Amino acid sequence: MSTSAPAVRFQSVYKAFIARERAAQPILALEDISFVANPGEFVSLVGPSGCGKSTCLNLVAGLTAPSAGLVEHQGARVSGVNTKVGYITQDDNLLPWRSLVGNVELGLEFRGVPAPERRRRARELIDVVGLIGFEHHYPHELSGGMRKRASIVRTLVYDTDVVLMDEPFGPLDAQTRVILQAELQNLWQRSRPSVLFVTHDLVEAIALSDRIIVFTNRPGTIKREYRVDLPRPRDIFHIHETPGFSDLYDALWADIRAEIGAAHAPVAGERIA
Amino acid sequence: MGLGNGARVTAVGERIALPRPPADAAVRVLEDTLTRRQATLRARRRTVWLARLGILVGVIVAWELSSGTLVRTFFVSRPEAVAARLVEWTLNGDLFWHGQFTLTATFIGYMVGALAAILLAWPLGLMPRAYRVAEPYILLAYSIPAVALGPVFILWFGLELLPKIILAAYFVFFVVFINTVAGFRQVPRGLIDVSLVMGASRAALFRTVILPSAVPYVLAALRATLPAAMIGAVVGEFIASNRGLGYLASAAASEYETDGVIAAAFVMAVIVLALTVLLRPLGRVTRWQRGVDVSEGSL
Repeated sequence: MSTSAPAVRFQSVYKAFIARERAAQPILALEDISFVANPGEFVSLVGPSGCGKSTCLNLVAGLTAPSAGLVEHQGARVSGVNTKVGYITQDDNLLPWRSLVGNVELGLEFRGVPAPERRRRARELIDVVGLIGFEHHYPHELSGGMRKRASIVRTLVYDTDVVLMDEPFGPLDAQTRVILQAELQNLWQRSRPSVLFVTHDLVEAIALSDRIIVFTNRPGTIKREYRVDLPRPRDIFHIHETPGFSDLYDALWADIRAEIGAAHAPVAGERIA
Repeated sequence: MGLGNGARVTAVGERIALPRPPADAAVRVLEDTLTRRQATLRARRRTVWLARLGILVGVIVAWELSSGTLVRTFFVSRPEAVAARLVEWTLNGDLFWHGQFTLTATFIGYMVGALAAILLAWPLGLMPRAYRVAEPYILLAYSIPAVALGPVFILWFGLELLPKIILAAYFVFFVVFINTVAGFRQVPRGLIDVSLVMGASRAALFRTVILPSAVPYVLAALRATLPAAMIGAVVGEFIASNRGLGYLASAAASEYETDGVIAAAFVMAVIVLALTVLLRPLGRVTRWQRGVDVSEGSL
């Protein structure tokens, strides 16, 4: 494995589904997708619902296989479940019968890390996200934001070089969302994994990413790529005041809007300022 | 405003730390709220029990008044006759002597049925394709009215305890089986996927994800089926027996002693009720299950 290998590489990837067991027609979810994520790079995938963004993450995690084309992780073809990446799913997917610390230790446990070290590493990250005092609470006793923090540190605690995140902040309220975005930037800068980040939120994509890939409607193809050159570390809470933000936002929104417009019949006089 | 980076962000996170201790006035408000709440709950509990008692008394009074006036006593007996029968059976030891056989068949049948169900559901719940093969046969077996099979069981297994145990086990088996399979199959796909990506081996996946997720389903079924075991045992005694509470009822019925039938049915109902209450904690054993929704049987 050469050091110059991209962390993740998609090469002419196609993915077709049979949505239901008796569906007559397969659905083409991804069409000719090619892109790379470099080591330490934060890449966001944005695009209309159902455009196959999440499918891309499942492909890197090896939970599903491409119908054609090649998905590589660190220069090696992904085949079967890829335990060398971290995957933060949309639902927090915490085990309800395990306490917070038990959940954070889960990956380390599966990886055979001895108990004292598990405890130490879990506690360290629980501290970083301000959850000390809640280690022995069960998931249903935690708020949505706390559960989300738990599911993020649970994945980051075992230090993979690639982290996949599928709309991790989707269901949260606006304030918690921004706070967690800032915490994520903070956590990411500690170990600098490559991140593939799926989101609908363009502000979030700009605030966090080095690069943003815009997908078209289904079948998802890559419409455009944007480089986000805002200096780091970024002030997430005032990201929209950063010079260069609005131009980028407007360009992204124009792309997305064209895709939404293509999916739905245009309404007479509809106009986005 | 340099808010937003590094340590500052963590400081924002501290908003979710435990709340500060409240001032005196607030403490009083909290205490009053608690006291009022407890009083309300006590009053509510008292009302519920009074209503229950009222219904019981109402039914007995209505029974007493209608027997011999609206309905012939021959059909419905009278409360005092049933009570007298219960006292008689208690004093002469019939109740305990017959009861022990019914309870023995109930417990052994329950254990056998539940154990067999779990041991069979375990592999089938984990192998969806094998389950699909087996499913129609299991549903077919479940659809057989067990009462209809009773006489055959007597033929095969004799007149003693064995056919009663088997009937009791039969009544337990399917509910536990179906619930256990459901428990293994309902494990959210997301939990399994995330665990696999985290590096779980098959054994670790089973131990840390699938089994704990299925346990509440199994416990709910175990709780719901103890009364069913007793019904199975009593059905067996009804078909052919010379002892047991079911025999006591059927013997009274063959003599047209309505009070005996009602007394025996009453004893069985009380036992089932007691067993149900006794097993109630089995449905919710641990703290994590509070707030977790587990669908369960009707009991």
